[in-house]
Amino acid sequence: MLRLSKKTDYALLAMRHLAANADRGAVSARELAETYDIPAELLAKVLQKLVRGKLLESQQGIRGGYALAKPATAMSVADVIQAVDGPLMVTACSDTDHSCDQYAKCNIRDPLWRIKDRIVATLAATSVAEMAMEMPVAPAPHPAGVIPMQMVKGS
Amino acid sequence: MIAVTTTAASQIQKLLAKREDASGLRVGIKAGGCSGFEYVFEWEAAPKEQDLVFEGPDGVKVWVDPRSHRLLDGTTLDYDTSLVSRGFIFQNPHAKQTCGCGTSFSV
Repeated sequence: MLRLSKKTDYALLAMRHLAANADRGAVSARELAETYDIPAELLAKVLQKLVRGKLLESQQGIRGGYALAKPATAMSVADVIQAVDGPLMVTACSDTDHSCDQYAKCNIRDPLWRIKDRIVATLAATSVAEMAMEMPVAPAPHPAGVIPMQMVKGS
Repeated sequence: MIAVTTTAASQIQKLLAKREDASGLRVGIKAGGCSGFEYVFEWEAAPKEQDLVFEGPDGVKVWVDPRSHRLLDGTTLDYDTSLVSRGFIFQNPHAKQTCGCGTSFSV
């Protein structure tokens, strides 16, 4: 199953919280951990990765904590995922890693890589600021790709 | 009212193009299968007098008899192209349970 790691979930929760509370300055790791019931040690590791990825700044002192290193509009969901888990992959192989027994005969690699590129493009087009918007998600009248058929005869 | 996914619509069109004797797809329900009801598909030349006729993208036609329509109303007809299976599938809001084969359901 394609899914984000728990660490990425925590990173996105933290980034979203910091974006929504940008006017308060730094937010403590403890506040983040308590607000979202995230294990403190694990959150600390995630926050360090986000600092190393230059998405967060840590501030020392009594009112210290973490703040966004850049405007929330300038950081994407893809940036957050890559800072925590590295490049997004959907296959075991890559351009540089051919260590798969089926690599030479594989005929699903290219379509799967194209799917990955689309996923990455969508994640890169979604900013952290968008995640922080308190906008209700409008229910789509029909899921994507579903077309209601026109009744041309009948009651 | 029924809906069709773009994948199912193009599949219907593709299959119809191969059949000179058919102009549309009948979908219906009959008693049977492991869960009480099962879906039926028939390629047919023309709808019957009492059928409800639905038209989708690119003129794709599906007809449903009124009795089946009572249990198909609101259904989306999809076509599964996943790596593990392939074929038409119904996303039927009336189906409380479906069996593993995907063609049988209970209400």
